[in-house]
Amino acid sequence: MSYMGNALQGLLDKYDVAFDANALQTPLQQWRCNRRFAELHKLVDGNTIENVCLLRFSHMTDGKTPLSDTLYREFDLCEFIGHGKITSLNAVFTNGRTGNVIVKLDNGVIGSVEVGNLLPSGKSDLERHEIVARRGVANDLPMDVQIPLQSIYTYTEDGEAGYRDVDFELYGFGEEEISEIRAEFEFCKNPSAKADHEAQDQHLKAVVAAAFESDKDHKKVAL
Amino acid sequence: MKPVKIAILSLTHGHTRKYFQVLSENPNLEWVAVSAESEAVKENFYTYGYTQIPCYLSDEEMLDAHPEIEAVVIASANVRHLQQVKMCAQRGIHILSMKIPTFDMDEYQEMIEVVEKAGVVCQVELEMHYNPVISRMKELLRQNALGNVVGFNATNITLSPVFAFPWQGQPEMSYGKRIPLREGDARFRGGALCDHPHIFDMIRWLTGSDFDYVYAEVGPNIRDIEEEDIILVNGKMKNGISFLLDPSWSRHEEKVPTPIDWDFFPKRMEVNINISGDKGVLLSDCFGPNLWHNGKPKDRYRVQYVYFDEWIGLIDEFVGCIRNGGTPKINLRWHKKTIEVMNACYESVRTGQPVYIK
Repeated sequence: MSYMGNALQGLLDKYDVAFDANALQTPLQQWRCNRRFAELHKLVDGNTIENVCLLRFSHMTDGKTPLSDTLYREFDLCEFIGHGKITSLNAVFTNGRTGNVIVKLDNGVIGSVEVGNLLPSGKSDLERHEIVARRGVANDLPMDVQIPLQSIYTYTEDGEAGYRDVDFELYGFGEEEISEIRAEFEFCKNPSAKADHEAQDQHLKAVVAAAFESDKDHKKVAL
Repeated sequence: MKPVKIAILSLTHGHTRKYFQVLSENPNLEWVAVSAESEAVKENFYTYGYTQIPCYLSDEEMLDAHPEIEAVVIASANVRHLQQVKMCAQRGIHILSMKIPTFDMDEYQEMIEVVEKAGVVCQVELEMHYNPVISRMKELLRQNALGNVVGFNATNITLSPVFAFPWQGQPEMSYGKRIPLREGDARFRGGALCDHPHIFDMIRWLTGSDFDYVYAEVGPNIRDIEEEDIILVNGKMKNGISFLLDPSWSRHEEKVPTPIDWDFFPKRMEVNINISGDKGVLLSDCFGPNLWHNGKPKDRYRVQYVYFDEWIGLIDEFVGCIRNGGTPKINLRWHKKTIEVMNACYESVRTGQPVYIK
């Protein structure tokens, strides 16, 4: 069993949940299990911030990640955090490496999704997810800070390093790995969610395709 | 250099206060007088302590009483600018215009003609050009640090000034006309977009290209006002650069009649520009880093801005052009294309589709 598979099995054993092989074959939109996004979702869901007007999302990667993958994830986060479905968009890209999309949700919320894969090879992703509402704003970056923060910074003779450990049960795993393991674990607890995940997957693929169509035709696309 | 004798008109623009200190402290200026739109504006002016400066309730009365005035800052509602520009040009007085001369392109052309016929300096107040972070960005681009620029994303987001400067909440005063945003929408042109030309100007300045097309979308309003306060714009420049511009009033504010202690977390204003090139990415905060405190007046977390004051460089250029006969880099002709593209954004909101710039 793989390193991550062992971790999943550890959670299954601890909480007495049966493994379901579909967890490894279903598109799970695993970022929804990232605590940052779960908490942003809750801030809206619980009316801590009320009447959302605007989402301002940005996600830059190095060249290994295709724009379509980043768009898929960020569109899903728009819908997850914005509590609506994308109904129209206008996209502009340059050289298939950078660009942005203005989206509108069925609840009237609009959002900007900035994407790019022009960071130097091996550089950690740079992300920002901000919600602007009639009552309140929320952001996964603090005020005046342009790049993601770490929990620990070290400055040693070996150079500088940062550490962000966010899950005690899954200590040692990276943030994306933790999301994946947690998503698989949640699926095993609730295998009936398979149809919802697959439907969302089909929907998101259509939204991503619409973004490239919008860029190509220089037109807003209604979904 | 012989100091330029200068006055301020109207005192109702949100940037008016910025000039009080620079007009007092710049050794190349002699602050002669001000005119106020009303008794209330006059009373407010004197609360700033400049009691030695005569304040008139009429522009003409002030200019008649002080024929020595060589230059003015037109600090009024957008709808008043044409009349004041004509009045000053006819008297041979140099003009520092606010950031929106007018949105009416016929009026705009008339301004160009009267200014050029009179031979006066007319500089448009786009203070970001005198921001040191912008200077560094320009230098990095000149050094080709990012390679070929392919993407440009910028925010110019602020609180809304409409409660302290009510004319900005009145479509006729801000946009010049009462034009609905689009069919079925109760709002009108004249809101956040009209307050934030800087990033539309700066993308032209930094990339050396002009707009090809724009698409704009308005969101639900944060406030109960007649104009748009949330708006996003994307599109492409003629050289293929894709861009996203956010000129929203998406920061909250205390709804107070004077712009004092109106800051609300996280901060009242932000201009962040992110540029992508084929060799890398640049992230910038043009007004940061700052200081933060939770002291007076409300004991809650707020920003104390520490940035350099752009108005110093702006006024230095204005004075230099007057005394040395130069043309400001941000003049009416340069700025015209920026105003045109802002109008195109409103047209895109109306039609729901991208609009090409002629």
